[in-house]
Amino acid sequence: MGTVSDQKVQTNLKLAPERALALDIAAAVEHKDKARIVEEALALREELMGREYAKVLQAALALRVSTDPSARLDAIKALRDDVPGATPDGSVTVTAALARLRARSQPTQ
Amino acid sequence: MSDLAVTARCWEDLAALPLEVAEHILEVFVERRAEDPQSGETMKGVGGPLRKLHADLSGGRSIRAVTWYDRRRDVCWLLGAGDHSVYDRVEAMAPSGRHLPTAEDIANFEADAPIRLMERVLRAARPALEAALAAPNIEVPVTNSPPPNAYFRVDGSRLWVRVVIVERGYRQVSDRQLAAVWASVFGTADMTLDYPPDGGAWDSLYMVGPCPSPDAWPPRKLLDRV
Repeated sequence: MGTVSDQKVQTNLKLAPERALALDIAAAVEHKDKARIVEEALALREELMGREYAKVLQAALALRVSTDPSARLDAIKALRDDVPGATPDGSVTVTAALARLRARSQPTQ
Repeated sequence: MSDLAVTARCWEDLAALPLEVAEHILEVFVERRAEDPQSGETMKGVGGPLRKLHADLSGGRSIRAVTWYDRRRDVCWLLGAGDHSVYDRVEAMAPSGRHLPTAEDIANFEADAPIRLMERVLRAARPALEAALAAPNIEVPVTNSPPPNAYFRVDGSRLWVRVVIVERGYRQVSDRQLAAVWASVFGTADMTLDYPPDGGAWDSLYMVGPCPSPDAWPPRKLLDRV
Protein backbone atom coordinates (compact mmCIF):
# COMPACT_ATOMS: atom_id res chain seq x y z
CA MET A 1 0.00 0.00 0.00
CA GLY A 2 1.39 3.34 -0.97
CA THR A 3 1.90 6.17 1.46
CA VAL A 4 0.21 9.51 1.04
CA SER A 5 3.34 10.91 -0.51
CA ASP A 6 3.34 8.09 -3.11
CA GLN A 7 -0.23 8.76 -4.15
CA LYS A 8 -1.31 11.24 -6.72
CA VAL A 9 -3.13 14.06 -5.06
CA GLN A 10 -5.14 16.83 -6.56
CA THR A 11 -3.48 20.15 -5.92
CA ASN A 12 -5.31 22.33 -8.43
CA LEU A 13 -8.53 22.88 -6.52
CA LYS A 14 -11.54 23.48 -8.71
CA LEU A 15 -13.61 25.83 -6.66
CA ALA A 16 -17.03 27.27 -7.41
CA PRO A 17 -16.70 30.97 -8.31
CA GLU A 18 -18.26 32.19 -5.05
CA ARG A 19 -15.98 29.89 -3.03
CA ALA A 20 -12.95 31.07 -4.96
CA LEU A 21 -13.95 34.64 -4.18
CA ALA A 22 -14.38 33.79 -0.48
CA LEU A 23 -10.92 32.24 -0.47
CA ASP A 24 -9.48 35.33 -2.13
CA ILE A 25 -11.07 37.51 0.55
CA ALA A 26 -9.81 35.27 3.36
CA ALA A 27 -6.29 35.37 1.90
CA ALA A 28 -6.43 39.15 1.70
CA VAL A 29 -7.81 39.56 5.22
CA GLU A 30 -5.29 37.21 6.79
CA HIS A 31 -2.35 37.98 4.50
CA LYS A 32 -1.84 34.27 4.00
CA ASP A 33 -1.32 31.99 1.06
CA LYS A 34 -4.59 30.47 -0.16
CA ALA A 35 -3.26 26.93 0.14
CA ARG A 36 -2.37 27.61 3.78
CA ILE A 37 -5.93 28.75 4.48
CA VAL A 38 -7.36 25.61 2.90
CA GLU A 39 -4.98 23.49 4.99
CA GLU A 40 -6.14 25.25 8.13
CA ALA A 41 -9.78 24.68 7.21
CA LEU A 42 -9.09 20.96 6.74
CA ALA A 43 -7.31 20.82 10.11
CA LEU A 44 -10.30 22.54 11.68
CA ARG A 45 -12.61 19.89 10.27
CA GLU A 46 -10.57 17.21 12.03
CA GLU A 47 -10.45 19.19 15.25
CA LEU A 48 -14.20 19.75 15.28
CA MET A 49 -14.81 16.04 15.04
CA GLY A 50 -12.31 15.12 17.74
CA ARG A 51 -12.63 13.07 20.92
CA GLU A 52 -14.66 15.61 22.86
CA TYR A 53 -17.20 15.71 20.10
CA ALA A 54 -18.95 12.48 21.13
CA LYS A 55 -19.74 13.98 24.52
CA VAL A 56 -21.26 17.17 23.19
CA LEU A 57 -23.22 15.25 20.58
CA GLN A 58 -24.76 13.14 23.36
CA ALA A 59 -25.78 16.34 25.14
CA ALA A 60 -27.24 17.81 21.94
CA LEU A 61 -29.24 14.65 21.30
CA ALA A 62 -30.50 14.60 24.88
CA LEU A 63 -31.68 18.17 24.48
CA ARG A 64 -33.32 17.34 21.16
CA VAL A 65 -35.19 14.19 22.18
CA SER A 66 -35.46 13.94 25.97
CA THR A 67 -38.78 14.72 27.64
CA ASP A 68 -37.27 14.85 31.14
CA PRO A 69 -36.80 18.50 32.19
CA SER A 70 -33.89 17.65 34.49
CA ALA A 71 -32.08 15.79 31.69
CA ARG A 72 -32.72 18.73 29.41
CA LEU A 73 -31.25 21.16 31.92
CA ASP A 74 -28.16 18.95 32.29
CA ALA A 75 -27.82 18.86 28.50
CA ILE A 76 -28.10 22.64 28.27
CA LYS A 77 -25.35 22.99 30.88
CA ALA A 78 -23.09 20.62 28.95
CA LEU A 79 -23.67 22.37 25.63
CA ARG A 80 -23.00 25.94 26.73
CA ASP A 81 -19.75 27.71 25.87
CA ASP A 82 -17.30 28.92 28.50
CA VAL A 83 -17.76 32.66 28.71
CA PRO A 84 -16.35 34.88 31.48
CA GLY A 85 -19.16 36.20 33.68
CA ALA A 86 -21.64 33.50 32.65
CA THR A 87 -23.21 31.43 35.42
CA PRO A 88 -23.46 27.62 35.21
CA ASP A 89 -27.27 27.48 35.45
CA GLY A 90 -27.84 30.86 33.93
CA SER A 91 -28.97 30.03 30.39
CA VAL A 92 -31.26 32.80 29.12
CA THR A 93 -32.71 30.73 26.27
CA VAL A 94 -36.42 30.05 25.93
CA THR A 95 -35.55 26.36 25.94
CA ALA A 96 -33.94 26.65 29.38
CA ALA A 97 -36.79 28.77 30.74
CA LEU A 98 -39.31 26.12 29.70
CA ALA A 99 -37.23 23.27 31.10
CA ARG A 100 -36.84 25.11 34.43
CA LEU A 101 -40.55 25.80 34.64
CA ARG A 102 -41.33 22.14 34.00
CA ALA A 103 -38.67 20.91 36.43
CA ARG A 104 -40.20 23.08 39.17
CA SER A 105 -43.66 21.70 38.52
CA GLN A 106 -42.56 18.06 38.74
CA PRO A 107 -43.52 16.34 41.98
CA THR A 108 -40.48 15.62 44.16
CA GLN A 109 -39.74 11.97 44.92
CA MET B 1 -34.89 35.33 12.04
CA SER B 2 -33.73 36.74 15.37
CA ASP B 3 -32.56 35.04 18.52
CA LEU B 4 -34.77 35.13 21.59
CA ALA B 5 -33.77 35.40 25.26
CA VAL B 6 -35.30 35.81 28.71
CA THR B 7 -33.64 38.02 31.32
CA ALA B 8 -33.00 36.55 34.78
CA ARG B 9 -35.31 39.20 36.22
CA CYS B 10 -38.10 38.19 33.84
CA TRP B 11 -37.55 34.57 34.79
CA GLU B 12 -38.69 35.55 38.31
CA ASP B 13 -41.90 36.92 36.79
CA LEU B 14 -42.49 33.66 34.91
CA ALA B 15 -41.72 31.50 37.94
CA ALA B 16 -44.35 33.38 39.94
CA LEU B 17 -47.07 32.55 37.38
CA PRO B 18 -49.02 29.29 37.00
CA LEU B 19 -47.14 26.90 34.70
CA GLU B 20 -49.69 27.04 31.88
CA VAL B 21 -49.62 30.84 31.87
CA ALA B 22 -45.82 31.04 31.85
CA GLU B 23 -45.60 28.44 29.07
CA HIS B 24 -48.20 30.29 27.06
CA ILE B 25 -46.28 33.56 27.32
CA LEU B 26 -43.10 31.87 26.07
CA GLU B 27 -45.01 30.24 23.22
CA VAL B 28 -46.50 33.56 22.10
CA PHE B 29 -43.10 35.23 22.50
CA VAL B 30 -41.55 32.70 20.09
CA GLU B 31 -44.44 32.90 17.62
CA ARG B 32 -44.56 36.67 17.41
CA ARG B 33 -40.98 37.83 17.96
CA ALA B 34 -38.79 35.24 16.21
CA GLU B 35 -39.96 36.39 12.79
CA ASP B 36 -40.32 40.06 13.63
CA PRO B 37 -38.57 41.16 16.82
CA GLN B 38 -39.83 44.70 16.34
CA SER B 39 -43.51 43.87 16.10
CA GLY B 40 -46.03 44.90 18.76
CA GLU B 41 -47.31 48.16 20.13
CA THR B 42 -44.64 50.44 21.61
CA MET B 43 -44.84 51.47 25.26
CA LYS B 44 -45.17 55.20 25.60
CA GLY B 45 -43.00 57.18 27.98
CA VAL B 46 -40.09 54.73 28.05
CA GLY B 47 -37.19 54.42 25.64
CA GLY B 48 -35.94 51.31 23.93
CA PRO B 49 -38.39 51.11 22.28
CA LEU B 50 -40.08 48.58 24.52
CA ARG B 51 -42.94 46.64 23.00
CA LYS B 52 -46.08 45.16 24.45
CA LEU B 53 -46.85 41.47 23.97
CA HIS B 54 -50.49 40.45 24.35
CA ALA B 55 -50.90 36.79 25.27
CA ASP B 56 -54.45 36.51 26.53
CA LEU B 57 -55.74 33.14 27.59
CA SER B 58 -59.25 31.76 27.33
CA GLY B 59 -61.71 32.73 30.03
CA GLY B 60 -60.89 36.43 29.80
CA ARG B 61 -57.49 36.03 31.43
CA SER B 62 -55.49 39.06 30.41
CA ILE B 63 -51.81 38.19 30.04
CA ARG B 64 -49.18 40.75 29.10
CA ALA B 65 -45.42 40.91 28.61
CA VAL B 66 -42.78 43.42 27.54
CA THR B 67 -40.02 42.83 24.98
CA TRP B 68 -37.00 44.74 23.75
CA TYR B 69 -35.05 44.19 20.54
CA ASP B 70 -31.29 44.41 21.02
CA ARG B 71 -30.35 45.30 17.47
CA ARG B 72 -26.60 44.99 17.98
CA ARG B 73 -26.84 41.36 19.08
CA ASP B 74 -29.94 40.65 16.95
CA VAL B 75 -31.84 39.25 19.91
CA CYS B 76 -35.29 40.00 21.24
CA TRP B 77 -35.38 39.95 25.05
CA LEU B 78 -38.39 39.12 27.18
CA LEU B 79 -38.12 41.68 29.99
CA GLY B 80 -41.24 41.19 32.06
CA ALA B 81 -44.42 39.12 32.16
CA GLY B 82 -47.67 38.90 34.09
CA ASP B 83 -50.95 40.78 33.96
CA HIS B 84 -51.50 44.44 32.99
CA SER B 85 -49.42 45.57 35.98
CA VAL B 86 -46.26 44.41 34.19
CA TYR B 87 -46.28 47.67 32.22
CA ASP B 88 -46.22 49.74 35.41
CA ARG B 89 -43.45 47.61 36.90
CA VAL B 90 -41.28 47.91 33.82
CA GLU B 91 -41.95 51.64 33.60
CA ALA B 92 -40.93 52.06 37.25
CA MET B 93 -37.61 50.27 36.61
CA ALA B 94 -36.87 52.11 33.40
CA PRO B 95 -35.20 55.23 34.86
CA SER B 96 -32.51 53.09 36.51
CA GLY B 97 -32.23 50.67 33.56
CA ARG B 98 -33.02 47.69 35.81
CA HIS B 99 -35.56 46.43 33.28
CA LEU B 100 -32.84 45.76 30.68
CA PRO B 101 -30.51 42.73 30.45
CA THR B 102 -27.69 42.84 32.99
CA ALA B 103 -24.02 42.16 32.25
CA GLU B 104 -24.60 38.64 33.60
CA ASP B 105 -27.55 38.16 31.24
CA ILE B 106 -25.34 39.20 28.33
CA ALA B 107 -22.55 36.81 29.39
CA ASN B 108 -25.11 34.02 29.72
CA PHE B 109 -26.51 34.90 26.31
CA GLU B 110 -23.04 34.57 24.78
CA ALA B 111 -22.52 31.21 26.51
CA ASP B 112 -25.80 30.00 25.04
CA ALA B 113 -24.57 30.21 21.43
CA PRO B 114 -24.93 26.44 20.71
CA ILE B 115 -28.43 26.26 22.20
CA ARG B 116 -29.53 29.39 20.36
CA LEU B 117 -28.24 27.87 17.13
CA MET B 118 -30.28 24.75 17.83
CA GLU B 119 -33.37 26.88 18.43
CA ARG B 120 -32.83 28.80 15.18
CA VAL B 121 -32.29 25.66 13.13
CA LEU B 122 -35.43 24.06 14.57
CA ARG B 123 -37.54 27.13 13.89
CA ALA B 124 -36.33 27.34 10.28
CA ALA B 125 -35.96 23.63 9.52
CA ARG B 126 -39.40 22.83 8.24
CA PRO B 127 -39.81 25.73 5.77
CA ALA B 128 -36.22 25.21 4.63
CA LEU B 129 -36.83 21.51 4.03
CA GLU B 130 -40.00 22.26 2.09
CA ALA B 131 -38.10 24.76 -0.07
CA ALA B 132 -35.26 22.29 -0.59
CA LEU B 133 -37.68 19.53 -1.59
CA ALA B 134 -39.29 21.89 -4.10
CA ALA B 135 -35.89 22.67 -5.66
CA PRO B 136 -33.73 19.53 -5.56
CA ASN B 137 -29.96 20.00 -5.69
CA ILE B 138 -30.27 23.68 -4.84
CA GLU B 139 -28.92 24.88 -1.49
CA VAL B 140 -31.49 26.54 0.75
CA PRO B 141 -30.33 28.59 3.74
CA VAL B 142 -31.45 27.37 7.16
CA THR B 143 -29.70 29.91 9.32
CA ASN B 144 -27.23 32.68 8.56
CA SER B 145 -27.30 35.24 11.34
CA PRO B 146 -25.45 35.07 13.60
CA PRO B 147 -22.90 32.65 12.09
CA PRO B 148 -22.48 29.86 11.27
CA ASN B 149 -24.29 29.64 7.95
CA ALA B 150 -26.05 26.36 7.31
CA TYR B 151 -27.81 25.10 4.19
CA PHE B 152 -30.07 22.21 3.19
CA ARG B 153 -29.83 20.45 -0.15
CA VAL B 154 -32.03 17.54 -1.19
CA ASP B 155 -30.34 14.93 -3.35
CA GLY B 156 -32.76 12.12 -4.17
CA SER B 157 -33.64 10.47 -0.89
CA ARG B 158 -30.80 12.17 0.99
CA LEU B 159 -30.58 15.47 2.78
CA TRP B 160 -27.24 17.26 2.75
CA VAL B 161 -26.54 19.83 5.42
CA ARG B 162 -23.61 22.15 4.76
CA VAL B 163 -22.21 24.11 7.68
CA VAL B 164 -19.68 26.81 6.87
CA ILE B 165 -16.82 26.48 9.34
CA VAL B 166 -14.47 29.22 8.08
CA GLU B 167 -15.55 32.55 6.69
CA ARG B 168 -13.44 35.58 5.83
CA GLY B 169 -10.52 34.05 7.63
CA TYR B 170 -12.32 33.33 10.88
CA ARG B 171 -13.55 30.14 12.45
CA GLN B 172 -17.36 30.36 12.60
CA VAL B 173 -18.40 27.21 14.40
CA SER B 174 -17.51 25.33 17.58
CA ASP B 175 -17.82 21.59 18.14
CA ARG B 176 -20.84 22.32 20.35
CA GLN B 177 -22.54 24.27 17.57
CA LEU B 178 -21.82 21.52 15.09
CA ALA B 179 -23.38 18.98 17.46
CA ALA B 180 -26.38 21.30 17.83
CA VAL B 181 -26.96 21.38 14.06
CA TRP B 182 -26.48 17.62 13.78
CA ALA B 183 -28.95 16.82 16.57
CA SER B 184 -31.46 19.44 15.40
CA VAL B 185 -31.70 18.12 11.87
CA PHE B 186 -31.12 14.40 12.14
CA GLY B 187 -31.92 13.63 15.77
CA THR B 188 -31.20 9.97 16.32
CA ALA B 189 -31.49 9.08 12.62
CA ASP B 190 -28.45 7.73 10.79
CA MET B 191 -26.18 10.46 9.57
CA THR B 192 -22.65 10.53 8.25
CA LEU B 193 -20.07 13.13 7.43
CA ASP B 194 -19.29 12.98 3.75
CA TYR B 195 -18.29 15.09 0.81
CA PRO B 196 -20.43 15.70 -2.26
CA PRO B 197 -19.19 14.04 -5.45
CA ASP B 198 -17.87 17.37 -6.73
CA GLY B 199 -15.72 17.74 -3.62
CA GLY B 200 -17.80 20.46 -2.07
CA ALA B 201 -16.69 23.71 -0.54
CA TRP B 202 -13.32 23.83 1.19
CA ASP B 203 -14.70 25.99 3.98
CA SER B 204 -17.54 23.70 4.99
CA LEU B 205 -18.47 20.46 6.70
CA TYR B 206 -21.14 18.28 5.14
CA MET B 207 -23.58 16.03 6.97
CA VAL B 208 -25.79 13.69 5.00
CA GLY B 209 -28.66 11.50 6.11
CA PRO B 210 -32.08 10.30 5.09
CA CYS B 211 -34.29 13.08 3.82
CA PRO B 212 -37.22 13.36 6.20
CA SER B 213 -40.78 13.81 5.04
CA PRO B 214 -42.04 17.22 6.15
CA ASP B 215 -45.24 15.52 7.30
CA ALA B 216 -43.39 13.22 9.66
CA TRP B 217 -40.70 15.68 10.60
CA PRO B 218 -42.13 18.56 12.44
CA PRO B 219 -39.31 20.13 14.42
CA ARG B 220 -41.16 22.11 17.00
CA LYS B 221 -40.74 25.85 17.13
CA LEU B 222 -40.31 25.44 20.84
CA LEU B 223 -37.51 23.02 21.54
CA ASP B 224 -39.11 22.06 24.85
CA ARG B 225 -42.62 21.52 23.50
CA VAL B 226 -43.22 17.83 24.10
